[in-house]
Amino acid sequence: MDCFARLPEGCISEIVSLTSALDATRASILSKQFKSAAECDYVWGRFLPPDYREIISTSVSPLLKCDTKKDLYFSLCDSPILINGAKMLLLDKRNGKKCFMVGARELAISWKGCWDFTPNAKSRFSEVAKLRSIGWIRIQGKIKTRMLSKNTNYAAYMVFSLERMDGLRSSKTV
Amino acid sequence: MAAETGTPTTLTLKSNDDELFSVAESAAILSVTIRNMVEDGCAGGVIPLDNVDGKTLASVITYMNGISAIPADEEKKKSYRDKFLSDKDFETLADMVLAANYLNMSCLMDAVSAKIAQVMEKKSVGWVRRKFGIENDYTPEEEAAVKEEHKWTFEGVETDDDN
Repeated sequence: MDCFARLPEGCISEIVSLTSALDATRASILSKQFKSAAECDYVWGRFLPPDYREIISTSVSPLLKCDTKKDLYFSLCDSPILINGAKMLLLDKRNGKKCFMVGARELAISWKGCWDFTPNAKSRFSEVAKLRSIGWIRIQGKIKTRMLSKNTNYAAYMVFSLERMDGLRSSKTV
Repeated sequence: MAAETGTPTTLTLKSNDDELFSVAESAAILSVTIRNMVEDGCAGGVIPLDNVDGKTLASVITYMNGISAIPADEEKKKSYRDKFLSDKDFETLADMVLAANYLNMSCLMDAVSAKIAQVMEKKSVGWVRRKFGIENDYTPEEEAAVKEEHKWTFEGVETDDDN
């Protein structure tokens, strides 16, 4: 017997909103009743980061027009937005956690004179830092922890591309 | 414990199958619906609860009494809620959602919803349909279209069996 059929749509939305974006999306496939309950703004408002309004207001990239919070959620997953200066934000589709990319201009790079800042078609940012030649490098990136999603383990990655490798030997420290 | 100042007020609740239940007013007003009736002075005689059957109401009253006996200690309240819901089957949980919705009892609604949500998490569509007896009312074409639209969700499903 389908016990959910007895429940008002609002109750089903409440239940679905307590799962994750992944489970809520899958719930749409269960039945028409679930699809309707799982796609409402109440559910997707819970999956968006609590500070999503503030994030959008600091965005400098034009945001696609979203009629529903579900559309907004997937827009933030699929097209990263540029926020305050040279940072990109996107959401992890499965759980709505915030992921950030810090552009080369926001990094602290030693020997700045040895780098050229140039556009690169492969990068999402308007400029990348291109190394001419150097003996050693030191690069630091900073991000305010209050911008990150709570109760989340983050990993940091350095995104780079090697064009020439002459003289590059494996480093003892990474 | 503070000394009692007179007899505690007791309310009489009536289920839709005409069972009568006595419950302390202090516990019953966890329901906003009942609290409003008490505040409006409509709770003098018997309070009829037309949307709740006797079996479910008995269970809700057990919960009202249990949770209101615990002082303001969120940990203890949580462990009471977990224990209270641990032996309930889904049929009963669905009845409790309906009752909590009608009685406007947010703490019970939240706990039961979270319990059902927990069962659904990381499960396949087939598993959830079987577990809860959800009728698939899509035509094969509609289902194929909705699956195609949400294709990414088929990665990382934890289980597709009944265990």
